[in-house]
Amino acid sequence: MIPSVTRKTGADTGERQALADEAELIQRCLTGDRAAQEDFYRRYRRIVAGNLYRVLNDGCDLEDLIQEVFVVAFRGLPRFRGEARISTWLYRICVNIALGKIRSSLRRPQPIPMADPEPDRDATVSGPETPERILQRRQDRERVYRVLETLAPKKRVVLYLHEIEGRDLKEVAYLVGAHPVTVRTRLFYARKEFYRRLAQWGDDGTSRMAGRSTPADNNTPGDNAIDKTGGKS
Amino acid sequence: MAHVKPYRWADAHAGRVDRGEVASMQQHAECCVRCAGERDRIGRAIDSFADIRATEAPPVHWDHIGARVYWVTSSERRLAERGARRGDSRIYPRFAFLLPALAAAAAIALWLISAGSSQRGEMAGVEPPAQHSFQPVANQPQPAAPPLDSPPQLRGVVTFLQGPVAVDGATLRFDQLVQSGAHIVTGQGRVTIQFAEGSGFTLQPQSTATLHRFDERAVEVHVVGELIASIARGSGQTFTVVAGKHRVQVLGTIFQVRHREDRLEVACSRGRVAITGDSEQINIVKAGEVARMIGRGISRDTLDVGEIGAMDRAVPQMPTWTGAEDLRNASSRLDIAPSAKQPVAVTIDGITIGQAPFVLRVTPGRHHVKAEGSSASGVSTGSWIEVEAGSSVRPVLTDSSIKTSLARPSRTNKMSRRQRQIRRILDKSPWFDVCMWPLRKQGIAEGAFISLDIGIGKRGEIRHLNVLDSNLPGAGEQCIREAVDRFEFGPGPAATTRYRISL
Repeated sequence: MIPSVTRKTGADTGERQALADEAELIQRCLTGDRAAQEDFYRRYRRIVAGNLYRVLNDGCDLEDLIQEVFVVAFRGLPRFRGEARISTWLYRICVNIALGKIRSSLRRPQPIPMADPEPDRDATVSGPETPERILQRRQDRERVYRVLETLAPKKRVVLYLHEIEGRDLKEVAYLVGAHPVTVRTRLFYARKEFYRRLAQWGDDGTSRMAGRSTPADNNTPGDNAIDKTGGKS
Repeated sequence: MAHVKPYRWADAHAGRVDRGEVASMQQHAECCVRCAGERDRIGRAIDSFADIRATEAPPVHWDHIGARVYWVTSSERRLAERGARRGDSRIYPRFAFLLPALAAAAAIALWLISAGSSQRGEMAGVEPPAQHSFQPVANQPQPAAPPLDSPPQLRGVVTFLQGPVAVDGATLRFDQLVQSGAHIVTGQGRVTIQFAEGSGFTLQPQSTATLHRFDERAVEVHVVGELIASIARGSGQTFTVVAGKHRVQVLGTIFQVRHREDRLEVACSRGRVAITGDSEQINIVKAGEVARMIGRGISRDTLDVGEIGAMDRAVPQMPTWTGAEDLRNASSRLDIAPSAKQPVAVTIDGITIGQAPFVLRVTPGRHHVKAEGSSASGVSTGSWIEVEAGSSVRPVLTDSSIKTSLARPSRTNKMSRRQRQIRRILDKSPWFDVCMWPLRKQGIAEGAFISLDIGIGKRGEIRHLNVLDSNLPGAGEQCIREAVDRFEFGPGPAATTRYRISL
């Protein structure tokens, strides 16, 4: 059984109230109340959009994907058992849809990359940030996503959720619908691969050893290297 | 000492490596250029994780997505209810996955039988019937094969109906779907027909139109009288109006055709249209222009902002297109009929629709209805009505109110503060200037305004956003709506406020 993810026994009054609100909202949605469905959509739409955008780093089909998430959510509401918060449950749907999107995009020829059409959000950051620093941060972010794109879809999602979002193994297991031990194994190989490729990715934005694997990469944990945990956290 | 594994730098960064080991890793990096480089790259990447976590999604069309989600879910619910009423039809979806397998099994069985029979024929020394399988049986009627590239036929949905309108000699009903070959005569009435997302046309009074071609590839309307069309871009469908010997062809635009006897007037408020006649000459009419043709002569003029606005409003706001049947079933019918004898002009969601009575197709949700009569009748009232999906609402306009309307909450100090806060946030927005920029470029920005009614919920979410009054073109209105939808108002008491943007 998948354990409860965010619900805690010692929840404070505010959280209990929020849970009660969510339960009431779901009940109203299930009765076909149009206002409740609209409220549901308005309450969670930005969370869903943010989740999808961050996982995929792609704004092209974002509207279609958001629509898909909400359609799946409304279809699945009668089966929602309340074992997690709605936002977590929606995140799980987002992860599944994102996985499908990654898989389908792998089957299609990739478009020629164009200049980033969206405004540079960092440009509006106030404070002592220099243009060079802003550019550097942007390049670093892009590099992370470039390396993520080289991973297999399942590894990519698990690594994103654990390393970047900072979610623990149980949460990741719930979100991807797998056993925690499976996730742990998947994460072990994903981390090794991700950081190896990240380390090899030059500052000029190109992989210095793209597609190559050295014998050292295939070493078992502990072989000829400083490694005591085997990369598992 | 051996090189440091890259993921160990990540572990060290996360504090999962003890101090002694970190010290030895750092010591190694001091004298190893490769490891130092890898450490720096991984460190910077991990620092960027916080930026990634804080990244917001780019602005999207929330209303469009919400409408699409609603259409999909409500259509599915309706289908499920219909299936449940039929009872045994529920079996179909449960075993639908077996159908392809059954079809394949039947095909294999047929092939085996035919192979077996031919084999038996050869074994018995009997010649198989030559060409039998390739010759059609004589005297047996063969169904006419459809042309290979015939595009699917369209069906138009009536989204606005005012006064009596006839189609193919019978009175046009609001729920009727219009098909290819239909002959529409308006008389004193007026009708708007939608046939795709954002595409439709309004046939004005004293006009006739024939849908000569009405499919997904092309729409061709033969018209005598006045027709205003709004055609969405990017659909790949050509829209042609044939007026006498002239053809007016477009891909994406709003334009008006007036054709009486030998006079033709083509006005264009957005995009471009091409007019061809019996000569080889092609006349292009650009946005904001009007071309008048009498015989072979042509004169051109420019449209003012009022004329452009009137054209935009002549085709009422069309609901999201989800197919003719779905749209007809899932949308709602707003039946506006005044109780007073005096003429009453009605504005819905900020768009002046015209003199009541009329019937308008609207998306389910909250709509603002405003009625303005002549000074003698004294009717001037506006209010909100809530429309359910698939329902028919008939608000009664009286001298003092619109029945079936929603009462506004009484105003409190908290609410006043909240309204001021909302207005302050909107005042600071640079997005409105972005929306007005195309109008400034066209030189029609002077005197342009838009008046909005915005409802904000307790969590800062936008509950409703309606245009009360505006003289902006449709694209400008849409841009302003999207700009307001981007704001984060923060939590506070729920409030509704009106906001006017003037240039």
